[in-house]
Amino acid sequence: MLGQVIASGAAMGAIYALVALGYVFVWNTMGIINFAAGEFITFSAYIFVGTLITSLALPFPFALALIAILMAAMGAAFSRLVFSRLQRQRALVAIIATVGFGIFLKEMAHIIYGPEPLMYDGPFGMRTLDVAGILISYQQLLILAVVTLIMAAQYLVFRYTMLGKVMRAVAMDRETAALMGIPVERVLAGTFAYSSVLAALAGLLLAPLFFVTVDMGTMVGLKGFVAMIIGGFGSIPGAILGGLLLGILENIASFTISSAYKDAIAFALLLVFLAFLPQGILPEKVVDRA
Amino acid sequence: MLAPGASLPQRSQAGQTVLELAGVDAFYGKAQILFDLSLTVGQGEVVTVIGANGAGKSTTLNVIIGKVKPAAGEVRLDGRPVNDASVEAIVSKGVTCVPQRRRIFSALTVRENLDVGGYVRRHDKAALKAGLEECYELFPVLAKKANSLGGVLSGGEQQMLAIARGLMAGPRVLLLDEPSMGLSPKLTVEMFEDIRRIAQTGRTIVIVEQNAYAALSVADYGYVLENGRVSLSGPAEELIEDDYVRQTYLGA
Ligand SMILES: Nc1ncnc2c1ncn2[C@@H]1O[C@H](COP(=O)(O)OP(=O)(O)OP(=O)(O)O)[C@@H](O)[C@H]1O
Ligand SMILES: [Mg+2]
Repeated sequence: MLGQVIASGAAMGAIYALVALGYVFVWNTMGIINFAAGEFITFSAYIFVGTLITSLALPFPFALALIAILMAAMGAAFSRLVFSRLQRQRALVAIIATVGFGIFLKEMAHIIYGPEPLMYDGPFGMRTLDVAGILISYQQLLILAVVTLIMAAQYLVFRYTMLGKVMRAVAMDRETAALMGIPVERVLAGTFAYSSVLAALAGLLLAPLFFVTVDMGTMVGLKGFVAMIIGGFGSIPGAILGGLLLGILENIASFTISSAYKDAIAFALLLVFLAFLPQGILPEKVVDRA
Repeated sequence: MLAPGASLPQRSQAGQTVLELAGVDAFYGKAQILFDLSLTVGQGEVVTVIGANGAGKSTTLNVIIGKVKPAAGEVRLDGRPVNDASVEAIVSKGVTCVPQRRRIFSALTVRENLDVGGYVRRHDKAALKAGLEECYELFPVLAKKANSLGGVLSGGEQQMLAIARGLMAGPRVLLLDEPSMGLSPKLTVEMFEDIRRIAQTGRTIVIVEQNAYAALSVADYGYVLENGRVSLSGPAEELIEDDYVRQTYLGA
């Protein structure tokens, strides 16, 4: 039974990891936490299920590509129009602005798609697979596969491509990156677009596990934030580890204690970490000697 | 503040003028930093601008590279005005600036720092490869430490990396902002020796420095910048001998 609990916890944790990575990228490049991240998840789940899958009846792979493009465009536009301006504001102003944008997205979803929750069975329906006595749904397998693929691709891009190196350079020292002729504003918009794609993926992967409602992304967005903190603020490997750990621990706890406390457990874990390991499990290393 | 005997002989312009500032005024907000600044840099020349803290040396380079837009006057590259060009455009036209305090990307490896420096030439793989070979030849220590993080290099090595990173963009004109800052006297001598070797490749170099003697020693021509104005200029060997320069900047 424990295997079962861990497997489904890991699938949920993989989603938290996606969301946590979104926070990390935006934080590292712009120094802002995007508190609208949860609503990006909600909004993209609505577009995906309500429009692309239901109204347009697109096949899953097309819908997937389209939602990624749409959310990337929305992210880039939001970054250029709003986020780049927030950079010059005080932190509190920036925080309130992202929270406000989240509420706006939530209300937009409500206006466009109405109050009824949307249902979506996922590309594989409700089938499950029996792996050595552990029942795991195809949807959970899909989540784990997609997230693993994204992480691997992201690692390769960051490590080996000009784009990846440029993104890291911009995150580290914008002014100097600009001096090399790097179009910093575009890199920032691209980074934000990528974090929006991560949110979109989280939304469409989650949709079959929950109903699509206006509140669907809010808790996931917060838990992604918790995952980033317990992993190590601003750390990429930390976000992945933190997400998985949070997903598994909350599932174990809700199984052994009570599922009624599931959400509370995530925040209890946050308090424990803030008290005893505030820098997280895999904090960002700071290297600078000369 | 003008030096006595400011009328030094006119420079014999060997090559064509590559870079020119003509009557430039520059501001940060309401504060005027540069006043009617003019300077000329010929093809293949090494030009040194000396000045005290806050004289406007970095601002001058920022105007050239396109980071600070002049409020009056003109910046010309190959005779054409580039006042409105972006930094990216200027770098693509063959001017790079090695910033004060080196500004190495500390969490990127030496090799990655160099790769990022080559951003404007990213589609020309052959040029990047040749650029990398040149950098490693000029600074063998960088080849040896290619996979070390930039942040763990010594100060001298970081300055080499900063210059090499600048060279990766394939510049015709290299702007160096206080390359000797924080280096020991011995390392300073070596650094200017390296700069001399880069000059021998035919590149045009503009150095801004407080270390007047070392920087004028490698230069063809020099300018003295005081409170955002050129107070004196002339062939480098004559500036080194000039009484006012000796008293004010060479501590002699
Ligand atoms: N970003 C800025 N905003 C406002 N004022 C600035 C800015 N950068 C420089 N200044 C001011 O402009 C003046 C000239 O600065 P600049 O950096 O060009 O001097 P510098 O000759 O390079 O000095 P140093 O040798 O200390 O590097 C100084 O008074 C400085 O305080
Ligand atoms: Mg300076």
